[in-house]
Amino acid sequence: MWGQVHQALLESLHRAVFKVATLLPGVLALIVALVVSIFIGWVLAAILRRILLALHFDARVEQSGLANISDWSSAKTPTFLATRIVFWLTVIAGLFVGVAAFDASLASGLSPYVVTYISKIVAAVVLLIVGIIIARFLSRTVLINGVNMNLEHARLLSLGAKWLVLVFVAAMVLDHLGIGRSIVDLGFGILFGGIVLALALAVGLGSRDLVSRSLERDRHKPATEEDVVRHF
Amino acid sequence: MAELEALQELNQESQEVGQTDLLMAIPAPLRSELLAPALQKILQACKLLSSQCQVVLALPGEETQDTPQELPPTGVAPASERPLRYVNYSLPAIVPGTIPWLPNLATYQEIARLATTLQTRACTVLGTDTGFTRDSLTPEKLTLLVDPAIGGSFDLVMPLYASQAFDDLVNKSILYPLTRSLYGHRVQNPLGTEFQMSSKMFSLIASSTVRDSSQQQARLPWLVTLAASRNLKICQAQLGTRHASSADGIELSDALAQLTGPLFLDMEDNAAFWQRIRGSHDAPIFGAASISTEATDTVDVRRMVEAFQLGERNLRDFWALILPPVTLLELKKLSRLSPDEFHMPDTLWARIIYDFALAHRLRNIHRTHLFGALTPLYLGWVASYAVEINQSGIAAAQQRVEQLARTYESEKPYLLSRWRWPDRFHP
Repeated sequence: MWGQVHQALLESLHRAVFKVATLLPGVLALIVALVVSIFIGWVLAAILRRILLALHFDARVEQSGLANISDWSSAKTPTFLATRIVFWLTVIAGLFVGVAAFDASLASGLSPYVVTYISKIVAAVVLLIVGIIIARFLSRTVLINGVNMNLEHARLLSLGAKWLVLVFVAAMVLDHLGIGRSIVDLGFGILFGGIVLALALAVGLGSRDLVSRSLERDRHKPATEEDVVRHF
Repeated sequence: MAELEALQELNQESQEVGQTDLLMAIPAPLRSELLAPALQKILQACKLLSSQCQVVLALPGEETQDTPQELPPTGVAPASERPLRYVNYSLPAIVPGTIPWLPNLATYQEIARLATTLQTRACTVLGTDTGFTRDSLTPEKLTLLVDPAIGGSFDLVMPLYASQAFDDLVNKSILYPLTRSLYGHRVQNPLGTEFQMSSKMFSLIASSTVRDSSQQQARLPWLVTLAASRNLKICQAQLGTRHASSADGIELSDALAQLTGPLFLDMEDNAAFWQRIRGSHDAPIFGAASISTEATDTVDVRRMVEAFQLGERNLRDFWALILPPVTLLELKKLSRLSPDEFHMPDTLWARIIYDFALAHRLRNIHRTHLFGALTPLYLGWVASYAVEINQSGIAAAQQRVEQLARTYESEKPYLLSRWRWPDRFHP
C-alpha cells in the first residue's frame, strides 16, 4: 500500500518536474525575446532620433501646423514622440514573438487566444491614455471658459466634464476587453441616462427661478464698465 | 455700363504703368455708402501731396465684377492735375472668428506684392471702414502719413491716434509697452491699420514667411517688429481720434489670443535681436496732437474685480504652471482687496506678461488655455488702471501708460533671465 502511494507521488512529482522543465525553455525564450526586443527598440529609437534631429523634424512639424497635436498632451517634442512609438512597437513585437515561442514550447495551442487578447489589452491601454488626455483637455477648457463667463461653479462643471469623459472611456475599455459586457452596458446606460435626466430636471424644475433671474439680469443689465471700457 | 468700360480701361492702363510713385491700398471691401466719401478724401489728399506723383489706388475684388460701380469717373481727378488710377487685387479669404477690422498678414502681403510689381516708391494702407467714417481723418492728416515715406526719410510710418482713457486697453496694457521694451521703438499704436511703407519695407513684407504656414491667414501683421528687427526707420503720424471698433461676437480671451499671440510668436522668431536691445527711443512724430481736456468717464470696477477674484480662486493651478510662487502670492494678496483699494503694481503686471510670453514659447499649457488664463489677470489690471484713472483726465491716463511702459523696460532683465534659463528656480 505504502509502496503504491510512494510510486504515485513519485510519478506526479516526475510529471510536475517534467512540466516545469518543459516550461523553462519557453520562459527563457520569452525573456530573451523581450530583452532582445528592448535592445533592438533602443537601437532603432536612437538611430531614428539621430536621423530626425539631422532632418530638423521638430521644426518641419511645427511649420506644417501639426505641432498643435502635442498641445493636447505634455510638452514633448515630435521627435521624442516618434522615437517612443518606435521603441514600444518593437517591444510589443518582441513580446508577441516571446509569447509565440512560449506557447510553442507548451504545444497547447494557446497562442492565437493570447496574442488576440494582448492586442486587445494594448488597444485598451491606448484608448485609456487618449481618454485621459481628452478628459484633461476638456476639463481645463470648461474651467477656463466657465471662469471667463463669470460662472461661480466653473470648477464643479469642469469636474463633471472630466468624470463624464472618464466614465465613458472606462466603459469603452471594459467593453473592449470583454469584461462584464452586459453589466457595463446596462450600468453605463443607467448612469449616463440618469445624469442627463437629473440635469434636465434640475434646470427645468429646481433651477427654473435661477435661470429666469439670470436671463432677467442680463436683459436689464445696468450700464457698467462695458459701456465705457473698450479693450481693443 | 459706360462706367464699367471706363474702369476696365483704367485697369488695363494701371497694368501698363511703369514707374508709379505711390500705391494706396484699401485692405478690405468698403461698404457702398463709404466709398464716395473715402475716395473724395483720397483724391483731396492726392492733390495736397508735396510733390507731383503718380498715384494708384488698389481696391480689393475681382477685376470687373467686384469693382464698385460708384467709383468716380476719371473726370474727378483730371490726369493733368493728379492722375489717379485704379487697380484691383484679390483679397485672401477672411478667417471666421477673427477680429473683423484687422487685416491679416496675407492681405498685407498681397498689397506688398502689388506694390513690388508696380515698382512704386511707397505704399499707403488706408485702414478699413472705421478710418473713413471719422471726420478727424482729414485729407491733410492723410498726407502726414504719406509724406515721410515717399520723401525717402522713413521706411514705416505708423498712425498715432488720440484715444480716450478707456479705449484700446489691450494695446495700452500689453501691445505698446511690450513692443517698446522688446524692440526699443516707442510706437504707440503698433497694430494701427493706417500706415505707410517704403519700397524697402513692402519688399520685406512681400517676401516674409510665417513659421507656421497654417496660421498665415489668421496671423496679424506685426510691421513694427519686422521693421525694428531689420533696423528700418520708423516714425508716427498724428491721425486724430479713433473711434472704438466693432467687437461684436468676439470674446475677450479670443481677442487677447489674436492680438497678443502673434507678438509672442514674434518674440520667439526675433529672440536673438530683442535680447540685445536696452532701453527705448522716441519714434519721430509728424503732425500736431489734438489735445483733449475733457475728464474721463467713471468706470464701475466691481465686476472686473469679481472676475479677477473668481479667476484667482479657480485658476490658481493653471497660473502655477506659468507664474513663479512670489507672483502667485502677490495675486492672492490682491484678491483680498476691495474694489475701491484694488491696485495691481506695474512690476507685477509686467512680470506676468513676461511669464506668459515664456509659457507661450515653452507650451506649458495649450495656447488657447494660456490666453483664457490671462483674461482674469488682464481684467484685474484694467480694474486697477480704472481705479487710478477714474475722472483724472486723458493726460493723466497717458502718463499712466507711459509709466507702465517704463516699468516694462526696467523689468526686461527679468524676462531675459527667464527666457535664457527657464528651468532655473525663480522664487
